[in-house]
Amino acid sequence: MKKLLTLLLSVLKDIGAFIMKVLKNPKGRTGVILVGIVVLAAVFAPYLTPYELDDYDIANGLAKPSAAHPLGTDKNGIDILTQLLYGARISLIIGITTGLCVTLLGATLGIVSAYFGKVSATVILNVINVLLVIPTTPLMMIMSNLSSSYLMMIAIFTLIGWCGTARMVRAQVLSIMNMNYIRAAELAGGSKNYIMFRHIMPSVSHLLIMNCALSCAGFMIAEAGLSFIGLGDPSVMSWGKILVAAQDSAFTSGLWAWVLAPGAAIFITVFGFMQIGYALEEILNPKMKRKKDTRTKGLAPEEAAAAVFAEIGDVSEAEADALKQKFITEGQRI
Amino acid sequence: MNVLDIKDLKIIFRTGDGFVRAVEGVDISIREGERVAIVGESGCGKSVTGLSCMGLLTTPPAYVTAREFTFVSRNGEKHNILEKTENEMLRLRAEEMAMIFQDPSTFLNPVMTIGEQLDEVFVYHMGLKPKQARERSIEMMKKVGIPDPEMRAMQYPHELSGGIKQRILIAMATSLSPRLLIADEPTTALDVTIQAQILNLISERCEKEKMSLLMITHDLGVVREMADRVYVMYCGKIVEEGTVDEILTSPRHPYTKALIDTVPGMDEKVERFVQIPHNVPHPMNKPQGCYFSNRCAYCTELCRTKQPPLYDRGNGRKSRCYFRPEELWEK
Amino acid sequence: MKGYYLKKVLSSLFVLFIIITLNFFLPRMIFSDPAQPYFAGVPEDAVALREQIREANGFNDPLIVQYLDYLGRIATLDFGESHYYKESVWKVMFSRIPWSMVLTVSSMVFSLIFGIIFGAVAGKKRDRAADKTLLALSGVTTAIPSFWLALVSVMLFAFTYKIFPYRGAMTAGYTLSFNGTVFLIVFACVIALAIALKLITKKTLFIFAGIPVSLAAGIFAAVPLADIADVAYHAALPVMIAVFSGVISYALLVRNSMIAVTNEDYILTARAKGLPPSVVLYKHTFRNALLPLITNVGMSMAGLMGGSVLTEKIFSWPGMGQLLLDACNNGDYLLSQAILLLFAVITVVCNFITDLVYHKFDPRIKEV
Repeated sequence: MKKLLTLLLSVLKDIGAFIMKVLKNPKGRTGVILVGIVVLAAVFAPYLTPYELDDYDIANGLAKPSAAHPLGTDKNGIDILTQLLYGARISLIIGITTGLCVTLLGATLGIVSAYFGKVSATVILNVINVLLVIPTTPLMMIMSNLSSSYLMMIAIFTLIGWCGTARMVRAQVLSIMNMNYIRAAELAGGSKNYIMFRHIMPSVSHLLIMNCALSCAGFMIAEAGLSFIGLGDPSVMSWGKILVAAQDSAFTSGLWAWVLAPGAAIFITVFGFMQIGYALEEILNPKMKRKKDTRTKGLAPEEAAAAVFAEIGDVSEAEADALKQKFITEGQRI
Repeated sequence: MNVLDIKDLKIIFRTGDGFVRAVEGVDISIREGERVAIVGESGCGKSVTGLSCMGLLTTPPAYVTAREFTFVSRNGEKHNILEKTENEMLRLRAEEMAMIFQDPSTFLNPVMTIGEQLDEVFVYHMGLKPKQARERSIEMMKKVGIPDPEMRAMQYPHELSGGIKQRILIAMATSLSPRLLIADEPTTALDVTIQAQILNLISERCEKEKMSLLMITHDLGVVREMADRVYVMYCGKIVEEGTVDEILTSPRHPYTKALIDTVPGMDEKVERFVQIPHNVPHPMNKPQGCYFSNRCAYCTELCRTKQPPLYDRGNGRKSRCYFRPEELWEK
Repeated sequence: MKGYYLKKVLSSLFVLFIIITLNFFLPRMIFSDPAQPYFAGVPEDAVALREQIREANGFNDPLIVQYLDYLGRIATLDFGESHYYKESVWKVMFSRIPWSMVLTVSSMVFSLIFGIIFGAVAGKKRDRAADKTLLALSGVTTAIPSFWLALVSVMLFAFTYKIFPYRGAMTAGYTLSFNGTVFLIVFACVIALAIALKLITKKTLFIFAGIPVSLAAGIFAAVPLADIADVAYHAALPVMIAVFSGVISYALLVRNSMIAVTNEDYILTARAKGLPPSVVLYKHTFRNALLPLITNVGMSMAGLMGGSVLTEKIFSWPGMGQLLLDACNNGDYLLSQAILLLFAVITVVCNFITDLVYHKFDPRIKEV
């Protein structure tokens, strides 16, 4: 029990240290702050706005932004800010869940196809070939006739989206397996599983973590697009849907906030996730780790180069002879 | 008369970690028709020295300075390589000096045929029409001993063997019979059986076209075959200089001695391969005193404190060592 | 070489077979009764009539018979009749494909031209203004959905300033007067000219350039100038938005591959030969750096006829994307099946052509 507790504690400590690293990275900090704001807004949506999504007030429809409605109201008088806050929920849920599912499925199938024999490779590669040829958007449009719940959207996104990740993982695993150090590990008698977990997984994992953050961002954009063409869940508010309504009414009445706000929200969230992704890449990829030479910092490259050139020099022969003489007379071992 | 005169050449590279000192004050001179070799382990700055002669280092990341960097062309004109603009260098490259590279498989453009790549030299330097240029290319390919040159000219690099590709590179470099040929490890990437052919070809071409040769290599066997005079480089500095026979028979620097000892002789039975202990120091982290001090069998406190100068040992021989360790091993 | 292409053809056919099968089962998965769209206008309680329709269209046969029947119809290129438009599926699709292509082809051509120039400028000098601008812009365009950009520009240019129209492809309707004979004559003349030039100069470039040039010349000759101007006026805004993001993505690709190629050893050889920097850049660096672009363009070629659903919806453009969306919403599944199959065939064919073209420019065989 105690052992388990200490183990748990050490794992928590590692996670904490990792989060600190992300926060110390400037890109990571920007990303975490942006995504944090959106997550908080989504979670506390009911407390942040006095309205509900079904607060019809047709008399007050198409209102310009005011103190009561900072972003104005739609045709039915529903507050746009309220829609935006609740819309963040679905965006985040779909983005993060799909990102995770795609990464998990893609990673598993990618590793299996690269590492577990020819049969699995052939099957998986052929499935990928078929999926790559199927036009994605049309298929999604047709599939969404099945059910328009957002779980369906996640399922379709995952089913179609894993190919890219799988191909990337497969390529990475194959290139690592050709490295000499893997051969060395095999020759040293390392079992297949040992090599898998000790050598291959670590070098794939940083790619995966980064890819996960980036695909979360990508799927959020895709979700907004699909809800915009009317394929989203009709019972849930989403940013794409706000824009559909805006296209119908905001253009003619010049309600700029209605159009700009959802776009800004998408941009902030997606940009945040992308920044986190890039930060993770910098932290986890050992090749990108760099220690800066501080001595020539702040100098123009040419000046710095001149300074380094000046450091390079030779001792004159006379000086060297004197040094040598000194060493000999002082009785040093020569 | 000297073809190339370099005094106090310094080359540094700007990297993400700061500046790396690749070459730290090197003096090299090559006389007309002379064959000079630079020997050293990888990373000692020998290739970079060759590239700087051709003006092929780009700033940034490379920064080059020298007290003197003179190349004398065939018409007796003196050129200061460091003050040349890129456009002025174009005339010198291929016409006055040329370079052969290490790995023929990566140094040929994969999407152009051999013929197209050879033609370029004639088209851009002599202003020949494509048809005449191709005739000259085929003639050149014959000169470097490529069988069936008309067919080869239509092929792409990936269809040819390493030996043929290296011959193509030699043909490319020597097609305008330059005054100086720089060969950067031309045999390292080749099979042992091909190596001798390529070396013979290079020295044959040099003799025929009266070219001076700067051979950059880590292989003492190549040095013995291909050079009159040798510079031994270590960590960006020249540690020993002299004629081939003298250097190979009576080295004056512990590093040269160690290098020679690592080559197993054919006639004697070796119990154990001789090796130089430790590794070449990282360019960002060179020892404070003599750069070889951490690996030297004769190292003293003095060597660890201060870098020795390049002592003139008479007879054109120079050695960067405080002592005369040769007295120890010649006994 | 031959074996490689044979393998490619076989795998493409396999993929198409899978898609056709999928196509057959999709409506049976989606609708509780696949015969539903056939009942349009038939009252709920006319059970006998419904049964008759069902029987007539073969929905009462065993699934395997229906499947074989479907395969047979696909083999004879018979896609049936659209329930919504009451016209043959082929006719409906062909009335829309040119409209999609107006948008996609023109935006691809402009994106490519400007993208290659921008990418080359950025890649030539790393860390300079052009490079930094490109990287910053690519950060923005990947984070902003392009349909939102389209919405904002519609609101700005079509509603607030009224510079451009906001909907449709022409001021009235979407039928162009198209003089087929003139088109054929001009097309044939220009093609003949291209072939003649090719025979004289022995450069395949003339064939490559001749096909698009002759098509364009034919269209310009066959359609009244006023109509072309009208379409161009309507297409300007959607094309500009597509070009904006297209330019940046192509430029980024070109820039990255330029930087990678500049560090290749053979560029050093080319410079050591004393070639002028412009020759090194265009003949050696550029030619290698554009190779990845071929694959990329080939992949997006497949989307040319498909059009973009989002753009077409925003601008009410009568293209394929809009057609498919409507077909899905109307349950017009014969039409949506045909569109899906058409897209898949185009993708497969384009991949194959890309492969051929790639080998033309890169003699090394690469199995992707």
